[in-house]
Amino acid sequence: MIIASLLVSVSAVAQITVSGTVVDESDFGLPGASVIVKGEKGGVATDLDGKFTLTVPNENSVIVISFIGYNEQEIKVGDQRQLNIKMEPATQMMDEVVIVGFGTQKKVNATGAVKTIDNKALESRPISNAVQGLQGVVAGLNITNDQGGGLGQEMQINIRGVGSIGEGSNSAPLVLIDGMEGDLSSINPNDIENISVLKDAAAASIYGSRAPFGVILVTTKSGERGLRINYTGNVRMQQPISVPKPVDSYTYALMVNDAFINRGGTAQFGAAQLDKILRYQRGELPYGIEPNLNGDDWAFGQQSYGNTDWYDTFLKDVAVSHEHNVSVSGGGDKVTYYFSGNYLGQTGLFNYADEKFERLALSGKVGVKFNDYVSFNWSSRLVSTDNEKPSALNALFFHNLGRRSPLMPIYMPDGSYNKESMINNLQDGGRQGDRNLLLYNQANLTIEPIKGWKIYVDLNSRIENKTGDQNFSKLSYVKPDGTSEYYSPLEGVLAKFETNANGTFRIQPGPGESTYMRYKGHVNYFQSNVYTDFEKTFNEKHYFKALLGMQTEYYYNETIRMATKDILLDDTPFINPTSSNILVSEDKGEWANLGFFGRVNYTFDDRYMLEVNLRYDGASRFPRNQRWGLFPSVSAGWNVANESFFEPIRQGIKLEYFKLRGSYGQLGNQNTTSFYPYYQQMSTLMGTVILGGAQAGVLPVFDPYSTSLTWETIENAGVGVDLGMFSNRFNASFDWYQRTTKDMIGPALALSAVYGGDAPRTNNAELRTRGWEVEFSWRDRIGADWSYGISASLSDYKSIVTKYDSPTGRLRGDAGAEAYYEGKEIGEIWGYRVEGIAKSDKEMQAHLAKANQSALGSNWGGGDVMYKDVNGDGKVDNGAGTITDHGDWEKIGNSTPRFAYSFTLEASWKWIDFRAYFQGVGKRDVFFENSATFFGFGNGDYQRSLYVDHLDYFRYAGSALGANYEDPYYGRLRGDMNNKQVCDRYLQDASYLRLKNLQIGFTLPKTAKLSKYVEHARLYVSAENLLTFTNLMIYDPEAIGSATGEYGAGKTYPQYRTWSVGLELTF
Amino acid sequence: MRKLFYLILGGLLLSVGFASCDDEPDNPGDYSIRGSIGITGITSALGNEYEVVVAQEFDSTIVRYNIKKDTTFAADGTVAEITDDTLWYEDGVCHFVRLEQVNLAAAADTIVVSITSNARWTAAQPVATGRRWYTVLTNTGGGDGDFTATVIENTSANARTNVQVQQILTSDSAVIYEIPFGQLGKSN
Repeated sequence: MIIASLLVSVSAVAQITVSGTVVDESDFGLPGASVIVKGEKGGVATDLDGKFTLTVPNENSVIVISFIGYNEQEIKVGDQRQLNIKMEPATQMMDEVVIVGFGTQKKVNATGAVKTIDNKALESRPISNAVQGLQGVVAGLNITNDQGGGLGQEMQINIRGVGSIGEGSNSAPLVLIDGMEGDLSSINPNDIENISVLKDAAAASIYGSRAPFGVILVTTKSGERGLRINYTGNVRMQQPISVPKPVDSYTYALMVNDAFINRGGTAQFGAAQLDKILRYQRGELPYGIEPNLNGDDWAFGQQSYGNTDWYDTFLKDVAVSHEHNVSVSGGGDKVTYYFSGNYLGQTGLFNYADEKFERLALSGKVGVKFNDYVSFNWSSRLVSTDNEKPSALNALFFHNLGRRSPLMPIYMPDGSYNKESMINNLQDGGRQGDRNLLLYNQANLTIEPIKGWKIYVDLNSRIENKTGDQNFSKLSYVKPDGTSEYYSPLEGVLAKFETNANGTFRIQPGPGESTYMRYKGHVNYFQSNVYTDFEKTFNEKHYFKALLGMQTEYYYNETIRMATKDILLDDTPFINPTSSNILVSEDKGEWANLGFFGRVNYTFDDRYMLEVNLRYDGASRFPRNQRWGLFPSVSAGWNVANESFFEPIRQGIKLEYFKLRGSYGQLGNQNTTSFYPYYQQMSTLMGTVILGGAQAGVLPVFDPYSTSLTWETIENAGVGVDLGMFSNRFNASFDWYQRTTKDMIGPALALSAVYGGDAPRTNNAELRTRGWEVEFSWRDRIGADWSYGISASLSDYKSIVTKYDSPTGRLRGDAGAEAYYEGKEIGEIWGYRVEGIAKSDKEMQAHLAKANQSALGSNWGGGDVMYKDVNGDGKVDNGAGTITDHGDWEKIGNSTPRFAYSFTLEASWKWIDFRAYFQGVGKRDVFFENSATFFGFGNGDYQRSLYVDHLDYFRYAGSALGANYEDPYYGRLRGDMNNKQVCDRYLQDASYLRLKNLQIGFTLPKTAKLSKYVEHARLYVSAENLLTFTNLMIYDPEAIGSATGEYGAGKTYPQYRTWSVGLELTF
Repeated sequence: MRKLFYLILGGLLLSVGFASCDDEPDNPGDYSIRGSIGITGITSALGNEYEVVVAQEFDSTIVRYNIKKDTTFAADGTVAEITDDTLWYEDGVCHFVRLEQVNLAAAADTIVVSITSNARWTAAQPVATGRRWYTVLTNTGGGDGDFTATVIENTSANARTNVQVQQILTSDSAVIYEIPFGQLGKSN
């Protein structure tokens, strides 16, 4: 009994009830604050008055109180039974730091347009590289992809729009990885700690003429105290999306017949062949091909009668990839380290192709603090990529795939693959491999002689070794008589074996030819930074920081290529030195920069901020007398919320942070395509002169050029607002900017004919971009278990050519290329307006009587498009195609992606987390000019890609495919351009909203038994590109290709959706 | 709030499920609509107008044929034999309309037959017996339109004896019009 009572007494002492009130900084009760016992399960939330009651095990228990926007507090119970806790507003916003050029700044004091994001945007996503993961994450950082999802596919990046249209320059942002220029797509996304985007001149000017169009700063992870071993891995399944659905063979034949008849010809497929096609579909015929009438070959092409869906044949339902990442980090007071290894193995979406992409990345970072004055960091990173695929899997393949006839069967009667299937072209036509080995080494020494003064010395190097090879093998097929005949692995192009002007080769083997090409390239890049900064606060109100430094860069690259046509063994090709058919080329170049920079920051009382940057750059790319440029920038900010007059607003509407800022700066652009843009080159070529019985090589004189060519200069101006409310639960920012690129190289006005040549190009063009960005985020907690967040961004820009000497004022260049003129908005689309589709010959004749369309084609009739005679001159044409005489052309759209947006929904409940990330483009017009994949027929009877979408074309009653004359989308099918002129009717809306990433994760609770062995464990399911909402017909909005590409728009590697399952473990 | 979370999650997963199944476009063609033709008037370039009177009208069966070529393969995939076979088959109903003979004026002229139709139509040159005095200009059209033919002058005092029977039919042979054209002599 006594023992029992003792036991009872012991247990009664162990359970303690604690009550209390949680209040905010204004002493108001804080409802919904989480109150838990540290290390125990469960907890409570405060009520509407901020009160709580909680049972704790004993007096040693520690209560943890937390609420979004406030600093977390821990209180040991001890002998307290009634607690009154006052929460302090989180100073996260005040302490949040942004990475800027050569240093960091408190976000509240930053005056430039800078956005820093942590690695959460990339976490647990089945992405191939960091660039893919950043799409839509930062307003103004435009990452676009029109080329689909090929392995190793590169995406286009720009900050705040197109920066330059100058000939021979590029406007990509500068990417710095731990301070050294690098390739964002080559870095292991798991190694990234944070990414800063410097958008305006004030932020980027410290990097001078390498960064006129913005900078992306990537900081990789470093070691921390305590040993951590981390593993993340995932398995991914990719499935193609937006795959065209071709029509069956019978429908195909009927559509082709329609097209031929509509053009005034006769049907291509007679009744006999139509019957054969149907019989094959019904299974009455064993093969889809037979010998031709002579019996000396097979009846290939349109004479066969198979029924093949080529996309179904070539595209896998699912392709599997996997990624694994292991990292070890740790350290103590003196030494910290971080080592990681990452492997990504991807397979492609095409059957028969055996595509492979592998990336192996190893990195190591060691930090040593010798004493309070000197510290040293060393990092090395090795990235090896290997991209292998069939040599025939190129742009021509996608072009041919789109126009592959369903009549072609896969198999021949003897069971071999039909040569027209292109399967042998992929399987046996030769392989191509591109390998890249990057080695980054970085050393940083930091000396702090006295507190506040630091000296930095950075030495960075990057070595790249690129190697690759490509071979084409001989392919043959067996004829009906048993003999073999060769055919080329590249269908439909002439045989070529020649060197291009840029040193690359154009290799297109003819039938019976095999070729082998190898290249080896090397890049050496060395950079050094020596800079010092000093910061001090005087009288508590005057904060001052000065930075002074010097930077050098040296870049060298060389590439050697060799190719031969006489291959002895296709299976093991090698360069045959005795071959009479050899191509050899070498190209190399180098550039160097020297820059001096300085920056002064002044902040008064955390209210008024001023920053001045100055950079003096010299670049080897320019002539001696043009080599140097001075680039100033200034920015200022005002923390209005820190003013005394703002206190009532701060308390009233909880607007704790409100900052206005503005900036202006000038930068030069030295990023020319050529390393020697101002030097004229004379290239030898074969002339039309015969000397000594042989064709002679000639050296043509270069075109006239201007010796006053100089840098492009970029002026940036912008204003912005940052604000934070409700104890940092709500944050928002808005930016407006204008960027003017001056002195771009453009054509000059024509000179008199007696001059005898074209006028030299000069710095006479200007481009202006104006845009705005807005971002906001909200994070909150509900009770102890729930937290959620919403964030969104929206941005837009327009670029206009404000100065350009266009002698002709042409609206379009040759082969659909862009042409520029003063006042042009980049991306403009000019075309005709359409009145409708004529329902009958009579209606068309009545229309032609008012608006003659003979300039656009002939043989007009019912079912054809009636174009509008906009200028009322009785005919429909585009005049001279110039800005002053554009006939009936009008501006009908713009292909620039506008109103890029994204929004993220996040929530977590206990050990479950959820994240949905949406990304999209609000407005974009695209016209698929002369496109067989869009119209069904291109310009020519044999440029055909007939999909089910194309069946909505005009057909009279009694048509074999059913009547469709009330409201068809397409006009009559025709192999000419009558119904395919650039016009508003077929202008496509390529805007889209995409569920880019969806994640659900399950984290091992701290109270689980397994948590003794594992610090952190999370299992997740993640998916990319799950849902797409778009009005765009046929294509995926990120796989539309390029209208000026070699084979036109719409012929790219398909885009894909990815499902993945992954695991994160931390020991 | 927990229920709201489950609702949002469930809604998203459902949308994912539906959206994973891509919408497949259909053929919007309407096979039930058959071709039709109406002749609303026969005029000429010289301003003559001719009456359109139906003489006979009935439904008939369309019979078509094609030649079937069969290839027999040996076991090794080479060709063993190729044979031809003619196949006849019925293919729907045709509405046949014959008009009363239209006697054209003796002068050289261009004849215009106004057609209303929802189909593609063809009008082949009639098989000539004797000297050709009638030539088709518009041998095909689509929807409403005009069929045209030229006639040379009949220099004889009497009407021509070789009547030209012009057929105008829809592309699916659903309707066939037959218009016998004669030409008056100078004395008529």
